[in-house]
Amino acid sequence: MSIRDYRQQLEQEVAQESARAAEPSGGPQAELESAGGADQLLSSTTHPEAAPELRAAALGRVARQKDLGSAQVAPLERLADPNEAPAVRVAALSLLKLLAISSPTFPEWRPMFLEALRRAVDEPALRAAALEALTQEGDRPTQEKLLAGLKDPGQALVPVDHALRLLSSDPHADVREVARSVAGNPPDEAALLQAMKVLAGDPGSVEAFRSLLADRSQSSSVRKLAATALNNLAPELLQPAPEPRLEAAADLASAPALTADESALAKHIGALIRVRREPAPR
Amino acid sequence: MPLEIEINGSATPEARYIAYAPSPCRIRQTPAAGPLPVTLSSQPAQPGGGQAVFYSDPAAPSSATLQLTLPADGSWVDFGLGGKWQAPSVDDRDCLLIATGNGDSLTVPLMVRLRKDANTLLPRERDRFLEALAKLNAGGSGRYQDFRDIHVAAANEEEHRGPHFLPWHRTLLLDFERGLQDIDSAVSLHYWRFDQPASSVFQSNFMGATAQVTLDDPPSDVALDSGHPLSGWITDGVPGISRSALFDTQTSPAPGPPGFDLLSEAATLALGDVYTDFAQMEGTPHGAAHVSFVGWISSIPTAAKDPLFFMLHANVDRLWALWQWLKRRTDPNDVKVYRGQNRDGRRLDDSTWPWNGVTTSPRPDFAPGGPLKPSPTTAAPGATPTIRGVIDYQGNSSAAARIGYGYDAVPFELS
Repeated sequence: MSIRDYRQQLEQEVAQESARAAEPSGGPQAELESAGGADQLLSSTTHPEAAPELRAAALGRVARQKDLGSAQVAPLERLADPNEAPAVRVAALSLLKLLAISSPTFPEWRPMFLEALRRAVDEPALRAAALEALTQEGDRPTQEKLLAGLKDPGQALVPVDHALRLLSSDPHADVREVARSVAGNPPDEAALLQAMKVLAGDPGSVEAFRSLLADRSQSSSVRKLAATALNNLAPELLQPAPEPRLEAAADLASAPALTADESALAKHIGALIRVRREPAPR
Repeated sequence: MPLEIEINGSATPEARYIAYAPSPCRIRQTPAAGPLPVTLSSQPAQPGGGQAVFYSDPAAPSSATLQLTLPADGSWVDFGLGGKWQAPSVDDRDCLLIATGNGDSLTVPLMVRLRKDANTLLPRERDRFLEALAKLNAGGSGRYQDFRDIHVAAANEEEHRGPHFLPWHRTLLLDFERGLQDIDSAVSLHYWRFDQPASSVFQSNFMGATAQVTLDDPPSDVALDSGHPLSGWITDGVPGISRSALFDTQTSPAPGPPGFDLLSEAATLALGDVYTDFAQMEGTPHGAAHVSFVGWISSIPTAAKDPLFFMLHANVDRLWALWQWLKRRTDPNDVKVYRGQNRDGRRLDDSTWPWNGVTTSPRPDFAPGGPLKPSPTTAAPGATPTIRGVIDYQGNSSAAARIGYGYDAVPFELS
């Protein structure tokens, strides 16, 4: 297509979009907006007889119609309301995450956002999303609750692996000590893997990673992650692993599985070494 | 050989990379008895390779060939060289520049290097990109961490929520791409077209198989093939890439939140004819694309830990570049092209953090990464770029403003 034809095509598409944007919306949403206008749309977000999914969509449309600097008001109210339907609160949270990225007034309403998120943690259907948003914002009270839950399962908001994943998003969350404890006595492999990720930057864990890498009773996932961590902490200790020879293990019943795991580990270590940082020239 | 050619002001192979916008070139003969007529042409070095076109002067339309007469005294003759529309390279040096005259010829291999739709890359283009990306990260010890440390909550006001959002991120991407090209000069920063399904991008051999979840599910790490270059990815000392999708990455575009849908390319271009209207795209499609996931990419403080972040933003920048071309908005002095705000880092001639190294209020008290990386293909926008310095990225209004990159689907066209 020539540049001229390309320009004409794009101009036509843009003109069609502009015309479409000027048309009233259709579909089920239109019932809620029958009287038109922003006020009607806003009232539809709390309409007692409307399905939560429709109200959630209306909430988004309200925000879309407003300036980015003032669109947070209704979603903040819906997220903070414990009596609101989870579907509407989830939609409100998604909108607020978008506005946290792009609203010029976010610093002003960030405290209200964090407070609404803390309330949302009490709702099981919102807990994971609220905890993720809180930990991404580096919310210290939430980090402390998660740490407390790792030390005392009775206080745990989420499973061990999930808590460690959440805490690992903030390098200042002081989670290494508890991660060492989990790695030493993991409740399951998911928890061990998350603890290893937290400790992958911990110089005190080099020996533990060496042991895990050498331990053939560990899963391929654990050994690969140990290699990744070792490559970060002490690259001189990570040597290329030879590709296993199929015939050497041919008489073992578990040979195919063993060989596949060893082969995957060798490929993984090869990739780690290939993309390592070259030593600076002297 | 009696002919010499310089591309981008240099005879070195490192400078032999062009985009659609014309690169400054020159040719001469060694001193001879008389003037030498030469013909410049271009052809792919192999089927599917790149092709170039010629510009006799910056204001002239392009042509497939160019006739020049080289003076007998060996002085240089200038010309422009740009990529032929829709004929980008797929490999390094797969485009040939051929000068013939008086029975002699000189062939110079080069690359028409463009940012492409990541979903359409050839496997070898994809693999070179991934290898460079992985080496930039270098298992957590590479320069990638600088880019991650630049894009943090404490630097929000330098980067987001205002008119500077687009030029600031254009500068970040340029620095990032130059970092990749320092590792492999044939690599570009390819873009993820979030308004279309991109099944190839979200595979275990590319940016990772990405599980579909709901917002109330915890994210998981993306799945990568054994031996994948990114399998040792580490940021902030933590391995892995935490990302799940709120949509089916194999069949659907990124959706955005309910009722605040992610805008299509055409709808984004339809936001308006002036910059202040177009810049609303910071909400949707930009923000809408981010929050179509759970995991790192869904929030500013953690987004840059995921390398998909840079491909998402390459598409944001591509949309701006496309709007600039479509609406002919390239002269930075025109308020329809950029309208700043009265805050440091947002005015047209303000320098941008962190490349300016300023750590006094209202700038953040840290500035990772140092000055903007130089390029062998252009001197612009300089080590400490300004907002103005990245707006006319193809050098439409001023050839010296060309900053040395382009997109496969955004032409160069003189206004």
